[in-house]
Amino acid sequence: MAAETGTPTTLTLKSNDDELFSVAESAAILSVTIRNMVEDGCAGGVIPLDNVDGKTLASVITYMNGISAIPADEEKKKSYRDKFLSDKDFETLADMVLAANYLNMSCLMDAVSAKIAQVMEKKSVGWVRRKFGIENDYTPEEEAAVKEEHKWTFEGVETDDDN
Amino acid sequence: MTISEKHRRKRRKHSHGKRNTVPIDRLTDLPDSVICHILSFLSTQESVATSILSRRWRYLWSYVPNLLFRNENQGTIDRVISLHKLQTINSFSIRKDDWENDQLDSLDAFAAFAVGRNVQKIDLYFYCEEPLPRCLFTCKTLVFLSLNCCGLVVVSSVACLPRLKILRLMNLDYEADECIPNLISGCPVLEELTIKSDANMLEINIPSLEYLKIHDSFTENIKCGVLTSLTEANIILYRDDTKEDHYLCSRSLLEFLDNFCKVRCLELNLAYCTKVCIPIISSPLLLSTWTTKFHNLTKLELTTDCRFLPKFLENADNLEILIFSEVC
Repeated sequence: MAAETGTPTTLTLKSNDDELFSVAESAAILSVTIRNMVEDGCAGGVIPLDNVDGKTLASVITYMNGISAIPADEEKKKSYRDKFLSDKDFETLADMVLAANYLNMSCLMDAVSAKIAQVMEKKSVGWVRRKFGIENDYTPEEEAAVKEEHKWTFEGVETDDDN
Repeated sequence: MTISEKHRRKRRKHSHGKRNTVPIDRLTDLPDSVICHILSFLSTQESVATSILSRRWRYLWSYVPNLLFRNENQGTIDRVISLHKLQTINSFSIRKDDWENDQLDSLDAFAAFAVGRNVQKIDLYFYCEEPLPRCLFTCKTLVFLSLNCCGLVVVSSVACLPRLKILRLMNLDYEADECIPNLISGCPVLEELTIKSDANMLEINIPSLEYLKIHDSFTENIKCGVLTSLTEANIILYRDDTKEDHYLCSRSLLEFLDNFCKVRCLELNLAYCTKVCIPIISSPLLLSTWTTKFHNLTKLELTTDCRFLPKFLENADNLEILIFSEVC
């Protein structure tokens, strides 16, 4: 462990498409999943992360390094997170939220979830179905019933499905 | 969840190839818990609206731990909470813009729902003159309570809010002078307190308090006791109609300021009690006896007569940032 030897410990993470990444243990343990592996002594060799691909893992590691370099200042951390997510498209955000969930990183999970929610706001039903890959399996009668049940919710939402 | 499984297989199949060229239904892969987490960042209107997406989504909104109502009427709120399925919710908020035409009849049902579901955060901002439900002040799970304009505070005996860390009381009416003292003495781990009102009696005796904001009329009945953890204070005082002895009043004001001698950041606005300040600035004797040191103070935002400033600077010998606004 870093604290005992005095030198920073580096971990090697492996994505599900077999890319290898080196990352400082102090940054990597932002992930509770990785921290548990380290604490259980499973971090000696390569840590396989079966649910994260290389592109997403590279991005998560950038975040781990960036956020752990900021001292305990919640405002600065928040502005780093905002900047980090500002140029990510919806598909990348989707990959990130899956990765954050698998890696059990609550701060990234909250930030990405909030960003996805922000993107969803005021979007049409068609837009959300397309972006989330949702197949509409309602019968027309069922759909009409759901619409009737919660008709107060559809005020102010875009009706143009092409957005 | 057969659809979900199908997509997961599809995703896995493509994950080793040129995945970016293949349309993948990414968010269908998400477990329900993650979708509910995403929905918890939306208003309740937006999250209920997702029920139209597909059968899988029909009831997901009812497992979202945050209920954030914006301008919904009583009937709608009643209906949503009757359909909500979680036994433990995180936050419950009602905020309204139209205070004249859209008033709530009763808060009892909402409060009973939220408290019964072990809520941690309650935020109410709308106009109501009715007494606030008592269960709000005995909620053992509550961590954050913000009440703005939303009713009459009736706390006839000591409150019981053992986990409350943040309390904001703004523009409320109080049934009796004891209500605020009763309320805050029932909050043993309070870290942040905001009081914005015309409280006749205020006694703040909270060792755990780190942040204090008071926007209130100044009287001798505002007292602070032990504030050992306080690091930041934001104080705006009002009082100009006093017929009492200004000199005595000034002295109590200086004594009141002594309570904040340990803070690191202090924002003090005395622009609305200039008469009380007259003896401070016109009597060198009074000011010369005010020798309380503000050793920890590094940031001071002061709004008052410029004659008060030199003495403050003398007492705060570690000041790094000063923002001064002069009141003539």
